[in-house]
Amino acid sequence: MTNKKSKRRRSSPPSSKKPESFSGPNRLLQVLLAAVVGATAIIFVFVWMTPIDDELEKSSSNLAIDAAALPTESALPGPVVSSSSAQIHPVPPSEATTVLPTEPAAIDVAVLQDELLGLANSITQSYPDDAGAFHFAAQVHYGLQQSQVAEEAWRKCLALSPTVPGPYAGLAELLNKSGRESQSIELLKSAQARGIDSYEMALQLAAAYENTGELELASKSLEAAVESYPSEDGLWLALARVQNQLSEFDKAELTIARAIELAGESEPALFIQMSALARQGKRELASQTQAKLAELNAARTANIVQFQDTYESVLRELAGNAMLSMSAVYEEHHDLDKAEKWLLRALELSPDNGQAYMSLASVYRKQANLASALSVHRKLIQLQPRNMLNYTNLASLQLQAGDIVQAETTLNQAISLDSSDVLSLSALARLKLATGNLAEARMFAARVLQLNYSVESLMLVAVIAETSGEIETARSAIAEARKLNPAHPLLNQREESTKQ
Amino acid sequence: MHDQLEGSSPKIPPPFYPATAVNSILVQLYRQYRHSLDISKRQKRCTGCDSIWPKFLGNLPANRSNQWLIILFAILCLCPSQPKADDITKINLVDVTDQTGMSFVHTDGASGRHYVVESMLAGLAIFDYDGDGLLDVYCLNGSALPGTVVATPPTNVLYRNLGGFKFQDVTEKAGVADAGYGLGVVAGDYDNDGDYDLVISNFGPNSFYLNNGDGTFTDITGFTGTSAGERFGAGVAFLDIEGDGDLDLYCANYQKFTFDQHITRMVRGYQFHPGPADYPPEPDMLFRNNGDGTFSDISEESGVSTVAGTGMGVIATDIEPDGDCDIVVANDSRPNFLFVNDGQGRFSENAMLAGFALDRAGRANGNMGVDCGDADGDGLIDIITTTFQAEMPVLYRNEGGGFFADVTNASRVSTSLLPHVNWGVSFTDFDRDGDRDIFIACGHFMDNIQYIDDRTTMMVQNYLLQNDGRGRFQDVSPMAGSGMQIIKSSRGAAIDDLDNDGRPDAVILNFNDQLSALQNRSADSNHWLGIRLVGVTSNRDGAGARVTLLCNGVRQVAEVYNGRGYQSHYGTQLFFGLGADLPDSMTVEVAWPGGKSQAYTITSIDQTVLLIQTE
Repeated sequence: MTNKKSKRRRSSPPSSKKPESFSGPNRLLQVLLAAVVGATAIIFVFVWMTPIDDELEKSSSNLAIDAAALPTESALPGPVVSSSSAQIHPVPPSEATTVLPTEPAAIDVAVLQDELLGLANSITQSYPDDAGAFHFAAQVHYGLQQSQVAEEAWRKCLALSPTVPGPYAGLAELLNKSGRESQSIELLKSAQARGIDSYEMALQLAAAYENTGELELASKSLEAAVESYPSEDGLWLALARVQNQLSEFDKAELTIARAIELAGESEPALFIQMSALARQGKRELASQTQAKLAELNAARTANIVQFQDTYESVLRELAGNAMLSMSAVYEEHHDLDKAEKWLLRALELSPDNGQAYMSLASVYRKQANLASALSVHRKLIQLQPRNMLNYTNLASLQLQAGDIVQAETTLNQAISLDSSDVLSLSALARLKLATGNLAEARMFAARVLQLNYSVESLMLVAVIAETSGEIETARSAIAEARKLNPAHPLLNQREESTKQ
Repeated sequence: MHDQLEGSSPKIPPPFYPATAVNSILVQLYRQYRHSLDISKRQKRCTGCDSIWPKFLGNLPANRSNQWLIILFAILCLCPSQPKADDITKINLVDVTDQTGMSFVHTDGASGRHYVVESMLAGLAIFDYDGDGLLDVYCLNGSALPGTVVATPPTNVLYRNLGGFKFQDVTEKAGVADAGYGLGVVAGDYDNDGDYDLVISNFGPNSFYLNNGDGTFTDITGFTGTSAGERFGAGVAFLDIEGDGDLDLYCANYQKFTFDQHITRMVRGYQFHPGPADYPPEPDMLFRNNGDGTFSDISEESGVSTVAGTGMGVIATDIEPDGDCDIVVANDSRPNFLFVNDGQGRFSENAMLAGFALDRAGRANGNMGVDCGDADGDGLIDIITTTFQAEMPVLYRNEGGGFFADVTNASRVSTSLLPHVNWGVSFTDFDRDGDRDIFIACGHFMDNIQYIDDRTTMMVQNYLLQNDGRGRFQDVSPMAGSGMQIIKSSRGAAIDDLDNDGRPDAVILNFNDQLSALQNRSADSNHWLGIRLVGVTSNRDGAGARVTLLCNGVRQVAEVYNGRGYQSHYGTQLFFGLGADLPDSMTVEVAWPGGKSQAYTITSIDQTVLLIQTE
C-alpha cells in the first residue's frame, strides 16, 4: 500500500507550490518534463482503463467489461509502462492521411460483379490453407448465384476447418435452396453430433425438414433451438410457421407473438399471426392483423423501385459485406495495406457502413496511423451520434495523440447527449483523476456508481478516494466490491499489486 | 360413342363388365388375387420397386384354385403384350409430336429488346370446335413487336383432330388466324347454340370469335363489346356470375405497359426482361353477358376492379361451395385474388383472410398458372399455383369454411421444382386410379439464365407428380415415359383425352419452339368415366357445375372450368379414374350453376357419357 502511494505520488501532477528547483533558467525545462510525465500518466491511466471497443451495439450502461479484455496492470495510476499498443504519436488531427468518401460511388454492375469474383478467387489463391478465405469466397459466389462454385468453396472450407458453424449454415442453406434437403440434413446432423451448432444451423436444419414435409421433425428441432437461442426471432418465426402448417394454431399464436416481441411486426410475422387467429375463429383479431398487414404491404409496394435500382442496391450491399470480410482475412494475415484498401473500397460503395469504419480504425491503429484513426472515429460519431462507444473510442485515441483537451471535450459531448452513459462518465472520472481534478473525478465516479453498481464502479471510487487521501472510503468501497464478487479479476489484480 | 342420359335414380345392374376389355377374364383373375392378398384399392407400387413376383413365390397358398390363379397370373406376367403387375399404376406419357402433324412453332416476337411481354408467352386451348367428338387444339402465338420485321406475320393456329392422334391445320379455313400477340385463351358456348366460341386475350385488344357451327368462326369482337382496348391481357375465363344461364367473361390484366415505357434490366452483364415490379399493376375486367350477343363491362359495379394486380392464370370455381361461381386469380409477385361471389354477380376480394393470397411464409410469389381439383379426396376443391424460379409451386388445401392452407410441404411436392420457373399446371388423374396427379410445365425465358443463377437453365424438364391417394405426391417424371424427358422451355399445358381412349393426353406450348404432344399410354387396367355436361336452364357448357361421383364408397368431386392452368383452356369434359376394381355401385350427382342438383344413372364405364340437365 505504501509503495502504491509512493508510486502514485511520484506520478501525480506537480503541486501548485513551486519547489525551489523550479526557479531560475531551468524552470522551463523542468515544467516541460513535468508536463510530459503528467501527460504520460494521463495517457497510461486513460488508455489502459478505456479499451477501444469495436462493437457497434455494446451497451454503454454496463461497466462489467469482459475480464479478458481488462488490462492486467493495477487499476490505480502507476509508473509509465510503455507497450506496443500504447505508443505515443502526438500527431495533430489535421494531418490525417486518409480522405473518407462522403457519397456512394456509382457502380457498373457487371464490373463490380467481376471485381467481387476476382476478389474471391484471389483470396483463396493467396491463402489456400485459410478456411476463412474459402468461407468468404463461398459467400461471394453464393451471393452471385454461382451455387456450384460456392458449394466447392464451402466444402473446402469445412475440410480445412470443420469446427466453425458459419460454413455449415451457409452450405446447408445452399443445399436447401437447390432442393437437396437430404444432403443438408446429413451435413447439419453430423456437425451437431460433434458439438458444432449455431442458430443459423438450427434454422437451416428446420428449413430442410420443413421443405421435405417432415413438419413434426421441424417443429421438434425448432422447439429445441428456441430454448438454446431464445432471442433469435428467426427461429420463433419459423416455429410459428411450422405450427400453422401442423394446424397447431393456438401454439402458433403464442409463438409468433414472441417473434413479434423480439423483432417487431414484419409482413411474414403478421401473416402467420393472422392465419393462426383466423383459423381459431378469432375473426376480429384476424381482421385487425390483416389491416396492419395491408398497411405494411401497401407501404412496401408503393415504394417498389425499379428492378435495376433494387438489384444495384442489393449488389452494392453484397459487395460491401464481401469486402469487409475480405479485409478481415487480410488483417488476420497481417496484410494491413490490403485490409485498408478493401475497407476503403467498401466505404466507396457505402459511405455509411459503420462496421467498415470500425474495422478501418482498427487497421489504422495497428498501422500506428493515429491521425487517420482519429478521422475515422470522428466520422463514426457523425454516422452514429447516439453510439456512446464512439465517443470513448475517440477520446482514447485523442489521448494517445496527446490531445487531452480534445479528449475531455469529446467525453463531455457524450455526456451532454446521454447523461447516464456509464462508459463516458467512467472515462471522464479517470481523466479527471489523471489531471488531478479530484473533486470532479469523485463526482463522476459517484454518478457511475449510482448508475451501475458493480465491482468496476466501486474500484473506480476506491481509486479516486485513495488518491484523495480518503482511505476509509477507499477501503469501504473495496470491501463492497469484494462482497459483490470476491473473485473479480480487478480485486485479484489489486491484491497482487498490493503484495508487490 | 356417348350414352345420353337424363337425370334419374341411380342403378347399377350386375354384372358390371368393362365395355372394351379384351383380356377381361385374366384381369378379373388378377383382381381376385389382389383381393385375396387384401391389398388396399388405393395402394400404389413404386415404379421400379420390388415386383409383385416375389410375393407369389413367398406366399403360395395351399388352396388349389388359388394356386391355379397364381400360375395363370405368372403366365400373364411373362406375356410381353400383357401389362406387368407393377405397371398397373405406372404413368407413361409418350412423345408423339412428330407423328401428329402439329408442326406449330411459337414465337415471342423475337425483337431482341427483351420487352416484358416476351417473358409472358402463351396458353393454348383444347376443345371440340366442330362438334365431331374429337378434341381439337388451338395454339396462341406471339406477333412482331417494335423492332422486328417479318415477311409473314405469325398467327395463332387451329389443328383439327382427325382421330388416331393425327391433326390437320385448319386455321385459315376456320378463320381464326388471329395475328394479335396471344397470351390467354378460353373456349365457351357464350350464346348457348351448341358450339364453342373463342376468346383470345392479347397484348392489345381482345379477340372474340363466334363459332358459326360449320367449322368456321367470325370475329365479332366489336359487336360483343369485349375488346377492352389496348391492354396487357392474361388469363381469361367464362363463368356464369349470377346463375342466369349464360356465360360471362373475366379478363385478367397483367400490368400497365406501353412500348414507350420499355426499360432494360441488366444482371451480371446480361440483359433481362423487366418484370412485375417495373410497371404499375392493372385491375382485371368482368363482362356480363347481356343475353343478346353483347356484353357489358361491369368491372366496377361488380367490385373486381377495386383491386389492381398482376393477373396471370384465372379460374372460376365455387369455393365454399354455395352454388355460385367465385373467381381465383394468380398474381405475379403480388398477393393472389379470391373474389367471392355474393350470388348476384358482386364480388369481394378475400384472399388474405382465406389464406390464399400468400404462401405459408407470407410471401407473394411470382404466381403464373392456377388450377383447381380435389387433391386429397376430401370432397373440397383445392388450388395449386405455379411460380417463379427459387419459389415452390404452392398447393392450397381447401379447409372448408372459406379457408385455405398452404400444404406444399406436407404434401411432399418435390423440392427439385424449386430452382425452376413453372407455368402450365393441371390436376389430372393420369393413371386413372381415382386421385388427382399434377402436371407442371417448366422453363425460363432467358437463354442465359444459367450465368445468372446456375441452379436452372432456360430449357428444363416438365414435372409429373403422382398422387398417393392421400394428397401426397411423388415426382415420377423420370419414369413416366419419353414425353417427360423432353427438355424445352414450356409454358401453357393443356390436358385432355385427344384420342378418346380414356387416358388423358397432353399438349404443351413451348417458348420459341415446336409444341409437344404427349400421348398417354399408361397401363390399361384401370377404369374410367368421362362426363360431358349439357346445361339447359344453366349455361350449355355446364361451366361452374360441380359433379360428385360416388364409386365403391369412394367420392370424387370435379368442376367444369372454362379457362384454367396457365392462361389456357382444357378439360371441360370431366374425367374420372375409377381404379382397377369394377364398380359395385356408382352414383353421379351434378350441382348445376344456379343451385339445382340432379342425380344420374350410369350404366357403363370406360366411356364418356353426356349428362343433360332436366328442367
